[in-house]
Amino acid sequence: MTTAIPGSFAAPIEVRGLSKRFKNVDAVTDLSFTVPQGSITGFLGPNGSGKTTTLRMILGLVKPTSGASTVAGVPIKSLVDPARTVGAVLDSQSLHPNRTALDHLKVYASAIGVPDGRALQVLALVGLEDVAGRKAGGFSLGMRQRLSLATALLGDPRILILDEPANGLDPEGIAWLREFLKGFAASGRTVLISSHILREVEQTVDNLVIVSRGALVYQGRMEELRKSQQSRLLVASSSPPALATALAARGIVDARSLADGRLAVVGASLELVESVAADAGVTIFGAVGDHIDLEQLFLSMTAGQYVAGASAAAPSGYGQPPTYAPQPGYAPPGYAPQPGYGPPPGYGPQPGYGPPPAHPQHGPMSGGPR
Amino acid sequence: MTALLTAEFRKVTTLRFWWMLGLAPLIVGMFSSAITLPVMRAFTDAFEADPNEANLAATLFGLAVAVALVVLFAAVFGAVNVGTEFRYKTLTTTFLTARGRDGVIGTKLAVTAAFGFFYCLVVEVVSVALLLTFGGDTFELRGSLFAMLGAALICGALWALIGGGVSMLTGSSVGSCIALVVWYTLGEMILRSILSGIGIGSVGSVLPVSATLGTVANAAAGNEIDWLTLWPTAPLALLVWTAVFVGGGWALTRQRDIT
Repeated sequence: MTTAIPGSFAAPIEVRGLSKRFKNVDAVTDLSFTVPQGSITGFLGPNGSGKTTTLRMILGLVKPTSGASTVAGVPIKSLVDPARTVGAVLDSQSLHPNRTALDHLKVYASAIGVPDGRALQVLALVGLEDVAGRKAGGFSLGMRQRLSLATALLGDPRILILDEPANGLDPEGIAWLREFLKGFAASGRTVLISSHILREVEQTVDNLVIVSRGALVYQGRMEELRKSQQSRLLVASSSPPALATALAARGIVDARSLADGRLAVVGASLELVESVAADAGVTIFGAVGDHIDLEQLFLSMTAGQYVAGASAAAPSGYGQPPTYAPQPGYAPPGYAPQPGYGPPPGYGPQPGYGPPPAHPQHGPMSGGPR
Repeated sequence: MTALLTAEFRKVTTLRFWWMLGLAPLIVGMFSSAITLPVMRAFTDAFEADPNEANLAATLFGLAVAVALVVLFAAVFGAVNVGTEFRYKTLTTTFLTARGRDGVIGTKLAVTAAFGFFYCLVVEVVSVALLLTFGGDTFELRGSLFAMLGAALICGALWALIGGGVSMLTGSSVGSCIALVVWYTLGEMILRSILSGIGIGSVGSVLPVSATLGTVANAAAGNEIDWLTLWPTAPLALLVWTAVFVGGGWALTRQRDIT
């Protein structure tokens, strides 16, 4: 069997076409993404979007219905020493309440094959050395999270997978975790961290994988997402389709119809839109600028999971998100958003990110939270 | 493998349930002797027999009770030791810190069987020590007793494995414990009555508890108590039951989704 080769070029984590069906529920659908070496990748999505299931499939705890994943270039079952390659914090409840923190760590230290002294080291690392002799049953949620993190660090792994680690942590704990993860990644190691709140990880992650209803809606660098925070113009006109077509003819392809009949235009000034409208014989009744922040962007990307049918923007039912679904064969070599990956809703493909659509998009869009 | 064995051993010894479960049959056995002794003394006084005979009978009764209980408690230990991983979701960490599931399951069951054996051994050593102390000259250590005690040790290990297998099948320590206790004390007896009622009573002799009684009681050369299951059917039946529960639990756990 193969083990991770230090310095090898295999991506720390690769997911290819992963799907999981629980009875009648599709938890994950054809999910593919790559976690780059040395990155802190945020794995974001609303509750119930398949994040935990995906992480458990990567770690070999849940058997995928189809697809595959690799850790350090090989399926996790092929790793000779898995705990020294990847550490995971999946569930802060995975502690026996009647076992002391130190005993808990000693149990797994012996399973991994590291000396007992390592248990004390990781306890000190997460700031629990003073409660080493206390039973885990008396720990707060934050302390349990820290103990779970200590367990994941026992084998000094090169990859960390954390499922909602900020749950139960106080602001100080979150700040500590942020600095810890940054230091961890700065040493060339890799972190995959899930959350359902973008703000929670916004200052920590440098790479993003966003899922909604088990399917990928965005993958790319954090800074690319920030760049996409362009203001857009919401234009009320006599003929939105005619205006969109005229704009497309002028190279402004990111124009989408909103549920209220307005056209959302990205990448064009009001003067330009008015000029194009005049040339096309379209009357503009009014236009306002709209700015969406990252959180709104995230919410609009994952909209529809809970508000099916609540608005024209939300896809009905629990089908796949229509706008951002990844294309088959997507294999991001770098960090930039790849062709086929829809940019954030309401924000058409950015130049250089994929072939421009032949026609302006007139489909319903989320338009951000309402 | 040594690392996993150490880890599994530590999982047991860092908690208190293992010695509580081991102590219970020992104490009950000793109390059984103490309660039986006055009755036996009354008999020996009435028949003007040697009072040591009463001591011997009471201690032997205590041994029988303790052995019967320790086998049950070995099964409960197995169910708790394996089931607690499901109950407290520690199976996630257990599988993440080991390569492959088979190694973990195998070492966990090995440690479970070892503790079942150890429980029986302790109870037997203490009981025999009491027999030697209170039995006087009327008690002598014979090969037949050792054969029965040896068979009981094996039964303790096998029942610990059965307990572990049941927990792997159900994924619940509490449910498994209840099922084992009910089956061991009443369930099989009721089923045997039903089987006898419909004319297939002989099938009942290969049920786990009946097979265990036969394995222990008929282990001594010359002991052929025919209302209990005879050798070699008895130990073979118990081995088959153990293989069924362990095999089924193992197969399920190695592919179970740990959610």
